[in-house]
Amino acid sequence: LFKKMVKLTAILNWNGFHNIPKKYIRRAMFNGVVYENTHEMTPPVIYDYHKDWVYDEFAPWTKMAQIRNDPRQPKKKIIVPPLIEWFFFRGDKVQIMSGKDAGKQGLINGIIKQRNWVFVAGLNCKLTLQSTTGAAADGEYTLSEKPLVVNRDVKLIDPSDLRPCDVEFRYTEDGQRVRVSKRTGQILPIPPDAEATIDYAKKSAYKPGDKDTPPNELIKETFEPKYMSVEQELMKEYGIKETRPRAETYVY
Amino acid sequence: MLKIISRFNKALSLGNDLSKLIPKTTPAVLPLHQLTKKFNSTSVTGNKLMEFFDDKKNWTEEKVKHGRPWTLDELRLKSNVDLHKLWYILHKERNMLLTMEEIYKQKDLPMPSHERIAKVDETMENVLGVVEERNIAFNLLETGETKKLIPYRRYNSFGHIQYYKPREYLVPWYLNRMWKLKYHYKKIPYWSKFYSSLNRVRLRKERRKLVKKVDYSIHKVTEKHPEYAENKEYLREYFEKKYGYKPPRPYHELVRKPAPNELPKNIQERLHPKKQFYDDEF
Repeated sequence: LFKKMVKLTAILNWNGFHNIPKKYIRRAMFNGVVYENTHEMTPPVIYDYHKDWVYDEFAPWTKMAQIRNDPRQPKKKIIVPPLIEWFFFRGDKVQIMSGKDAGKQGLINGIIKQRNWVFVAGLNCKLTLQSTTGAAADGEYTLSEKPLVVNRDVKLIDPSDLRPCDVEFRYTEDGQRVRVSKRTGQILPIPPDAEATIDYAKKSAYKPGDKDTPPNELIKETFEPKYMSVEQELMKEYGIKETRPRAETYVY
Repeated sequence: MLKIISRFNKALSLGNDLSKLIPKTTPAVLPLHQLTKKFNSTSVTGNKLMEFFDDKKNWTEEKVKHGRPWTLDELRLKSNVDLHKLWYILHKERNMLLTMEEIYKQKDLPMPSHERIAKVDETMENVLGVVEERNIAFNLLETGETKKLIPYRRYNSFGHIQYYKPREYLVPWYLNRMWKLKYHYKKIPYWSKFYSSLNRVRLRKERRKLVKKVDYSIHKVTEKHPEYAENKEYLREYFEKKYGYKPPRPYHELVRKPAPNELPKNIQERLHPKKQFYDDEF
């Protein structure tokens, strides 16, 4: 849906989808298989969605993403160089190094790791004209953010200098793994927006529902190891007795 | 007719006490509804068939609040009886969600928070994983083996290599007619020699395509990012993993029988005791 306001809500919660099970995403990503020529006059042609899914600004289970990945149409081959480590989290302050808004600083709003993309809030936007129905009506303009490649266009900011810097992972005296700028040695803390998802904005602010187990009972330990298999232990608890001799089985 | 009616009336009059129909020689088993009553905190009043449906408040909502799946570490703390009870809670929840999915499909409406089904499936897999771990520990103490049915490569009756999954049968292999037709390998049969030679060419072609794909992707990456030119091995490993490329096994490994001294000493990979000597016949 296109609106007059800035199109940020579609990407606000795109934080890697770590809260959602991967099976659900994979299942919603592809519709399966496309069959053509089902009239049985000619053999059917089968197209698979499975190969080389191209990740775009739209979420993979939306219809726009499935239209762009339609296997019946030619697809552009995109090869993404792999990064050894990922330093960017949602809510980080970054500076844009190239493009129209070079030199400006902003907060990260969305991340797409599969393409090494980062969306900065309100910067590096494009205007698109969306014409409304009717001959005499004026068209509407929409602002949408363009993606930025990680190592090329974007750099993290040192909180002491407020200038761009290179970052490394190092360990503190306590043993914690922390981001550190190479130039000054200042620690860059991970922002609280990094753990935000569709369900909650902060883990501490989440209240469990009726069907959720409370945290007291999660940690309770009730396991006592015994020299029995799981089935034998359950039979003992429920008083099930088997006197019939077991038949011989062969495993091959 | 009178005899049939009398039996029908007898069944109706029993109601929920179906235990009277069962003879007394069978062992006593707790029925399901008594198990769930102990830990079902919600008070079920009225029609118990409504447990197949969600709360009435959630029928018209867009999102239903729910938590995350159980992790393996949290399930390892629980006793086997607790896991047994958890399994049935999850089973009932799964049935409820699947009925709701069908209803929304029939009305052409989107189901609110469809990811609940995937989360319930994940916890059920984790529960089975914990049960498997505990049984493996018991098996290692009793016998020295894990008794895990690991798929392995072997020749089938067509003369082709297959990832074979061992299973439990009531009959030995030399009496199992269907198994012999499918899996009993003596040598490549005459009716599949032509096909097996062509199949090898096909597999070689597919493997060669993947190698070219990996080389092409490395070339493209080093074009635009010359920093990766020094570390090509890292790129090669990354793309081989991504495209699912496995290097071909050497031919002599497949044909040669391993000597008993060369067998792996790891317990999990130990072969069946009979298979060491009668590998060709198996």
